[in-house]
Amino acid sequence: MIRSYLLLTLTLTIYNYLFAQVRLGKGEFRAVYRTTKVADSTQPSKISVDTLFLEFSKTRSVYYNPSYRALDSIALTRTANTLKAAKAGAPARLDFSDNTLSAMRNKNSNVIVHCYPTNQKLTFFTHNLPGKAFMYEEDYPLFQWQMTEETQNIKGYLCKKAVTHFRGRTWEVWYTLDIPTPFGVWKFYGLPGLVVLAKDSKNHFTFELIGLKRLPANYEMITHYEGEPIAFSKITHKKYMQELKKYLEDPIGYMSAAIMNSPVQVDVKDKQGRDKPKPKIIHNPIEYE
Amino acid sequence: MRSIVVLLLLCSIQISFAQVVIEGSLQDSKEAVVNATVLLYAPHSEKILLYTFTDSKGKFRLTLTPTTDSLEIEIRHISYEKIRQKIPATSQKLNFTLKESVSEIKEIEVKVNPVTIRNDTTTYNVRSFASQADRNIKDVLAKMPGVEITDNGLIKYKGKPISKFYIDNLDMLGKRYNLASENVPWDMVDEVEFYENHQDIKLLDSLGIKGSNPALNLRLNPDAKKRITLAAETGVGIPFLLWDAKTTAFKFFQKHQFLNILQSNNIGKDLEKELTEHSISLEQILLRRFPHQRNDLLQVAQIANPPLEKNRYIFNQSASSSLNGIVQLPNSAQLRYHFTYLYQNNQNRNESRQQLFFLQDTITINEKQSFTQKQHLLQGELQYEKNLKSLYTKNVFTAKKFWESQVANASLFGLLNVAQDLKNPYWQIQNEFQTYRWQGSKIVQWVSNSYLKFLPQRLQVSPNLWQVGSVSPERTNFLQEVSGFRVESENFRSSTTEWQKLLIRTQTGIKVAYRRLESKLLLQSPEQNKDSLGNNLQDYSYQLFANLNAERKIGRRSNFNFNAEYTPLALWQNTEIGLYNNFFHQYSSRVMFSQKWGSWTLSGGGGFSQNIEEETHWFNTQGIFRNYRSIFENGLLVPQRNNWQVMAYVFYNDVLNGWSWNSDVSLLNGYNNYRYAIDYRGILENRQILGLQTPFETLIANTRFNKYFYSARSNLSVSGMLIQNKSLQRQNNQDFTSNFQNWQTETKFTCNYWSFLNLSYQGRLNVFQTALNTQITPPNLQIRHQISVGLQLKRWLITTKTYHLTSMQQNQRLSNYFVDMSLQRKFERLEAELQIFNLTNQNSFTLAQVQENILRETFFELRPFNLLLKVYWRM
Repeated sequence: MIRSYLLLTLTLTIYNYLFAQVRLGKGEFRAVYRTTKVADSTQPSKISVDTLFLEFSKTRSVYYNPSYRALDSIALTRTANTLKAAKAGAPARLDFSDNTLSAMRNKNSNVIVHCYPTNQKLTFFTHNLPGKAFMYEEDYPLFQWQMTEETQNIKGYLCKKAVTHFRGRTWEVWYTLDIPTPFGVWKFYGLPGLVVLAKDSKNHFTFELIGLKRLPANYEMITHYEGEPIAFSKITHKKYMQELKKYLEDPIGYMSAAIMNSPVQVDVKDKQGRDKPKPKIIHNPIEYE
Repeated sequence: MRSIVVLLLLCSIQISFAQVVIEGSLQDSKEAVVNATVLLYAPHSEKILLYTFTDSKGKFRLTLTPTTDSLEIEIRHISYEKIRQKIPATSQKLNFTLKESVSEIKEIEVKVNPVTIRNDTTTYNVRSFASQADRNIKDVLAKMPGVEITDNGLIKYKGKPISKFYIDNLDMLGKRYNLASENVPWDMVDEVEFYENHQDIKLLDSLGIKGSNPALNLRLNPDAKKRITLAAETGVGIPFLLWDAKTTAFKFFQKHQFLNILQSNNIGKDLEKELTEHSISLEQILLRRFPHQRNDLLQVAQIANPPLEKNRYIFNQSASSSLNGIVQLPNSAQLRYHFTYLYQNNQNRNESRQQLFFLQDTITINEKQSFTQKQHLLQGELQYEKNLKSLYTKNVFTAKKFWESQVANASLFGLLNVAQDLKNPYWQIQNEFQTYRWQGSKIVQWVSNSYLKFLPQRLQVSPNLWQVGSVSPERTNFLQEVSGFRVESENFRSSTTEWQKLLIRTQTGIKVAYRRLESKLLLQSPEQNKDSLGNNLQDYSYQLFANLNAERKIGRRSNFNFNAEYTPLALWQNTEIGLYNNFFHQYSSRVMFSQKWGSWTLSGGGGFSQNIEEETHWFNTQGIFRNYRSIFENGLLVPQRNNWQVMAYVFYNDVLNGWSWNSDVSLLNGYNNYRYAIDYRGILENRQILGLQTPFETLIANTRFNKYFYSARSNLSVSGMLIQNKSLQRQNNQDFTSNFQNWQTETKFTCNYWSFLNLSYQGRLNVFQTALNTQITPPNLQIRHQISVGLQLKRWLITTKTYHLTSMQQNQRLSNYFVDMSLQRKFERLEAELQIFNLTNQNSFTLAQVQENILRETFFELRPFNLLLKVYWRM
């Protein structure tokens, strides 16, 4: 069984080699956030730290993981080279097993675009689930902000506090009117200023502004690097949460089904042929529903 | 009636504060302003009542029920000037024209996180830890929280030695990673990554079998990866002629990397340290690849080295050339090469004075010794590795040739000159092969290791000092020739299966060895007394082994490991006094348990083993004529060792907050059972079987606490060590218990808070104590302080290092003080440095030791005041 699982992962990334990049117009600012996450709620002291970018203009914003993009471009060049060689007659063989790519597998590929495709919507892109790439749209308003009078000076900005409850978590968000923009980090939208610090009440997730700079005059915001080998299937948020649940409960089964394009029954059995409990992934979701 | 009044009141409120709609549009000089924030405040207040954003046509609409007569409206947009004005609290239409903002928005410079943690990968940003005083990546690594570098260059992460040293994901140097850590400039590296529980074999990794040790990866900056870098440093100095030169060529491309070093010096730099092979990991032990050290059969008598850095007391001429590289081949295969030639000519000189206090008299013995060691080492290693998810193969071929000649000349009382001349050549050829593949549902590993060693060694002592009959010592020469030859081959099969939640690894194999030891002893005197003693040993050994290792993971935090091995050994020995056939049972078992809680890892275990000491029993002449001072001692043959061991580890590592505490304790207890002893009286040999069991006990405890202060860019580490060794020894048919203790504590502090100032302090206290039976020698204390201050003024860097060593025993107290300085100036492409070594011109170093009724003082000759002008250049 394990062997077939290996074969499956090997062929994983060749699936859907299609162009899927969205151009979002000129970007004006880039806010850099340090994000921390407790990936497994049973181990709250194990924190993973990441750096994410929020680029925004007057009309749109894009929120993405720059190191994922960089790694993705390496993978892409390699895939392109292999395919070129394959066209010339060499046996097509993709090796996605070195450290660079295993590092990539651990990274977050989520991209969130505000006010796209219309001013009343955000679009969420992901290829975190193996073998599949999804996008879904959500209508504003997503957040009911409760404004408070509390203020605090953070990073040299006078910040005000707002509180919201969103899909099972209570968020405390500090924003500044000095940078008036409705676009926020992650899905946050609709505050009168840029988010400087956001955290949930369980301290599982934090977003901290660590940098802000004006982008060069001709900078264009994009969702993905040109030629990134992903074609996104459009689904709903509810369906995405179902898919995520399916994957977490049975990652191997999910993976094989995704690749074979047909439901393959994968039985996890030990050497004696007895059924083994299927491996699960313990996950601490940012949205519970 | 009352309810009517309330109703009326409510109506009046309703009337005075009816819902109002404030709408309008925003535009600049040309077009509508989109996504501007429109806020409504209560008058003279910062309380936001309501806010909205303008739509794609620049329009906004706010509906509220005001509680005051007036309101304040505020318009904000990132590109325009802010507008705030007072408006009446009534429905109205407002249009604003916004002026473009003249003031720039306040930008925030991104400060790169010094440390980023992602699952099992921790990434350190090199620049956050580096300073101008650092040169190599090792200097920066030593400051990172959670990282420890020992004196010989071994890198530990979170208390465990690293198993791999990758440079941009390629493992070019294997266990000789000192070559990279001491030569790669830190500014070529962007990030250092540590992978915890790293598994480099993809086949095992894909099954989720994790490694036990961490791995390190240097992420180079893009410039370093594009071109070949040449770095050179040349220095000349006085007293004429001092030199120190080095040329390094690096290439770190995606598919091919090399690191070539050519260097020579006579300023006491130890070039052999770079070739240190670090191979401590559980995987290596499971692979039965124990480090094959060079064990010489003969040695010359030499006074122990002083507790100083080697470059202070070594007078040397050294040169080395090292070629290392890795080539990536198709299908995940790679080829690695390593070729080195090393020449060292080391000399040291010392003088010792021993005073023996007797009741009536005091005897003083003066002795001068000079020791010269010439070494040539030529070694080559080729490694082929294929690492696929379905197959893993690795073959390492190593060949070594080592020539050494040691000359020690001693002068006793200024009258008698004793010369010792030792030739110590050494050949070693080895090949290690292993492969992993699937066989049915199991992963099977085949390993075949072969080793060949040849050591034809020769020691001449003239005149010889021991008394043989009436032969006067001045006239006797002594010559000993020992030739050792050993060939061994080890072949085994391991298989890994999963059974009842247990990961079971079994090993079965055979080891075959043949060795021959020829020893010839010759005593020559001009009075034709010529005696010789031959002593030859030949043996064959067959060893079968079966090893079982079971591992059980309990949850995600606990791990239980059990290992048992049975190794019967058959030994046929052909010696001068007869043929011996022996059969030994060797067995061992070990249990380990480890548990993780957040940043804590606790582990402990114990084991028992009975084994034959491999390396000692074939040097049956060791210790017999090893030095001209000793009279014959008992020799050993086939010591059998029974011991049990308990150990415990505590690791606490919180890298994000800079805390780390790693401790380990191990206690080894057992006895050596010398099966035979060779007793020489004069030149007569007497072999006997000894039933003597000599108990021993070794306690080793280490602890290291480390705190990195991110905001102050400072690192503080405090460590302690205790070694206690108790054993029963026999000399001249007398038994005595020896007890040796060594405590050591060390404090290190570095501070890079100010970019123009580098501070570092190192303090070390070392205590030695020995006891023979009940006679306890007073403890010997050594206190060492080392302070380094570096001051940077524009392009100049001035560094001062002071080194202070105090040695104390009873009322004896001796202090030594050294100062080194350096003045550096940076230019566009090169850097010049003036090094001043031993500024106070300390010519000698004194060490005093008291033992029973002996006071021993040793004076070591030191390298005097030196000036060296160096130029560094990189292309």
